Amino acid sequence: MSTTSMIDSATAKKNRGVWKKEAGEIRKPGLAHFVMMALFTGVGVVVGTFGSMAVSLGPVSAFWPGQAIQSVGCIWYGGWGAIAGIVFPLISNAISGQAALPISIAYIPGNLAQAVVGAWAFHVFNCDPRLKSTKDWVVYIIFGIIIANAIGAAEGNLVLYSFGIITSEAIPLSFLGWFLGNSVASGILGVIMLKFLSPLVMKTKTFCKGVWA
Amino acid sequence: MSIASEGAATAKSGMWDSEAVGTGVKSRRAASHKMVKTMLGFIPEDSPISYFHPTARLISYLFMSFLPLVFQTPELQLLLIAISIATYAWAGIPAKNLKTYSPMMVLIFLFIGIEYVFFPATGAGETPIMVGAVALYLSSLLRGLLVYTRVIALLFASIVYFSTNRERDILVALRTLHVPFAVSYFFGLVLRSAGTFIEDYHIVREAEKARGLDMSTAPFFTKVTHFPMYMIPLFTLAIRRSEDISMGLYAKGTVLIQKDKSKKRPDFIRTFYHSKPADYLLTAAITAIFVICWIMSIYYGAFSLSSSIFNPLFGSII
Amino acid sequence: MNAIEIHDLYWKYDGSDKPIFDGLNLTIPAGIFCGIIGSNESGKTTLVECMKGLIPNSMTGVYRGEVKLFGQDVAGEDKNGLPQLAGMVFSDPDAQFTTMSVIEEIAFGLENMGFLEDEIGRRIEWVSQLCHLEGLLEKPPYDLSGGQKQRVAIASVLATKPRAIILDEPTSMLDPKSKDEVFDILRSIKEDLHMTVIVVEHNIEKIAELADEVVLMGGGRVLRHEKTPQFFQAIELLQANSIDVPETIRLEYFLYNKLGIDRIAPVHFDAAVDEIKSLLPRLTGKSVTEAIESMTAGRA
Repeated sequence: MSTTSMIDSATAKKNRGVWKKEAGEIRKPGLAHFVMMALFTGVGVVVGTFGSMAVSLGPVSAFWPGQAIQSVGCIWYGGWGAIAGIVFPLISNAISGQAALPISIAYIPGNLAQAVVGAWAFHVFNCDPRLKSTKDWVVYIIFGIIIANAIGAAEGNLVLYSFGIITSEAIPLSFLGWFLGNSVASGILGVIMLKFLSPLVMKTKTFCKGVWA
Repeated sequence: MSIASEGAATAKSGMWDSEAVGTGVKSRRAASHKMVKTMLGFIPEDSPISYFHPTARLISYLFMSFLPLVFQTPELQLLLIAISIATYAWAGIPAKNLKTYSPMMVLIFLFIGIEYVFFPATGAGETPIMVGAVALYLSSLLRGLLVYTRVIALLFASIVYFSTNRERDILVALRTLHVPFAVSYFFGLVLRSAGTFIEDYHIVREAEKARGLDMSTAPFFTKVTHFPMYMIPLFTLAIRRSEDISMGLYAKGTVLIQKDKSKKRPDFIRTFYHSKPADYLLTAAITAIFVICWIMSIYYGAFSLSSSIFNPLFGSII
Repeated sequence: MNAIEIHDLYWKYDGSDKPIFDGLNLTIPAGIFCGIIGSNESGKTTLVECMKGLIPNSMTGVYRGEVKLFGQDVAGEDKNGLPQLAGMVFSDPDAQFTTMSVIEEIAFGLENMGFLEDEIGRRIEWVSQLCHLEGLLEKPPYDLSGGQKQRVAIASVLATKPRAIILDEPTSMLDPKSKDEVFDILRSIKEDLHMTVIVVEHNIEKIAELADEVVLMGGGRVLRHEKTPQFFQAIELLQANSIDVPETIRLEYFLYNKLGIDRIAPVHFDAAVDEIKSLLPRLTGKSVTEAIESMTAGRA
């Protein structure tokens, strides 16, 4: 292959991004994806439980790195990561006593948002999970951390208000505490996961370029 | 005796037999001190709660989880808490185990207390009681009491259920309710992998200690910033194991969704459990209680905060 | 019928520059105990994954050639019967234990194959005796040692009564006591069940003791495939491929060289010791006792 065509090929690959399939590449969802989803959920249960227990403020945790698992899991594993992101809080909340079953179920839309927003942005803006460029960092911080946790905190506080656990006057402060607690913890963990583990994950067949494969 | 018949015999003549209730169970409990591990602790092997089929226990838990939402009075929440504690004790678990949850209960109390004192949900034109610079609104305090007792009732329902049921019981209950195999197997694999990762986490901690790094005495901020570094080895292990596990499952001929729907997947462990009249009775009773209470609450305004016996204590403010 | 027939196998993982196998051929008869040895990255694990049908069915890459398991093409259209033809045990005990108790783990494979509950119970009883799992059936995985977990993995495969069992470094993550437990079961499988056993192992002494045939892998090729006694004749080839030939066998061939004897040395430990004892007088001109005494005299 000539130098010119090699450069053209590399440029074309860069423009295609990590989310587009290579020519002739076949990706199908299978048993491996199901297993990875279950293991990722198991990791989330451990992280969510220990994180909640680290600094618990009753029904709200001031330090919950679980959002990183949700966000990064969905970036890596698409729909499988989103399912993991919804399921593991149900289990970790039950084990840690952080939230009862009805409240955990009510948190599902917020948890889904916390998982999906970052992944959606990565696909739309063609970002690399390895956080190689400034654009990748900016998109992750804005969508994967700030917007995702803002939505999650908003929905979560709505749930707490609906269940009467907080009053309407307390919502702003509770929202701020929830948002900051999640963002700082998951920001640190999420960045480390993306930076150090994405190269490994992207080589596996369970890495999802689409929604399910 | 074969394994299958041994399991069935245990089911028939052991703790799940209707004749086992009463002195049989008491004498067996006295004789047997063997504990089996549950999701949140240990339960005596011959606990009377094991008499009920896992499905009856799961359905009871689901209704007990939602019943506190129907009641708007603290006394009924306290009644549900008392029922949960009584169930816990009846199951044979030492009550002192509940002390583990004391810090959580205190934190919840403080959280809700601060909410309802400093961010009160007041009634129109209500005059507060001044305690120094702090304004106490009785209606807000009463509502806070309701919320606190409700949260504790919800929490105790989960504690009792997960303290008295093993992972297998939960999976059997799901499969008996015809939850798809893929879903029940998913939950089993999640619980199995969570256990493995906890072991791995402890190994990583021990490895750190062996090299002179003991995070247990480190300042909080150091712990927080160090926490993500546990995740790297855990995730690496998860990624490697997922490939091994999926190959192992493939090698065992695992199919998550059966193409031939007419062929029922065998379920060996379910043969160890048999439904009894008491299971149907329990399920019917708790369902009836929930539906009746819900109808009374929604359509007849029963169990409202204004009818609570605590209301007069707070000056009948509601 | 042969257990394994491999013809002109070509396999290259996706994203890899070079193929692992390029024109590999191998035949393993049914009913024997076959050991597969080789240095790291010689292709042993990939080979057994091809035998079991994991490649190409659950991995992506370029696959050409043919692999037959008891006459059935592993890459063919009908893959339903493959699990019942051969079971597989992997090196990581934790990766194979996906349920919450031993009894559930053994039952799992049988449920996948559609056995009825009564039959499952009978097979669990049979295999728990064979693999010495009595008393462990209700134990959860975190209460088991590595060796116990591997015995469970073997039991869950044996319960399906496959025609062959393939083990990929089953003792690599185990302590010495656990390794012995696993090898004892493999010995039972060989002697009592007469099943085809294919084991990838680094423990050459155990392979020499148990295997009927041995395959040496190197660089993705079969370098040597012989019946066990003949296999160990090529000591230089084995040592060139980082194979630690058992000392008794090395000593036997050393003595054969010295004495100008051209025969195949016995490989089982006891037989090898007897052979060495019989050769010592010829080499030293003394009786066995005197020869050993004189050799060990300076060491006390």
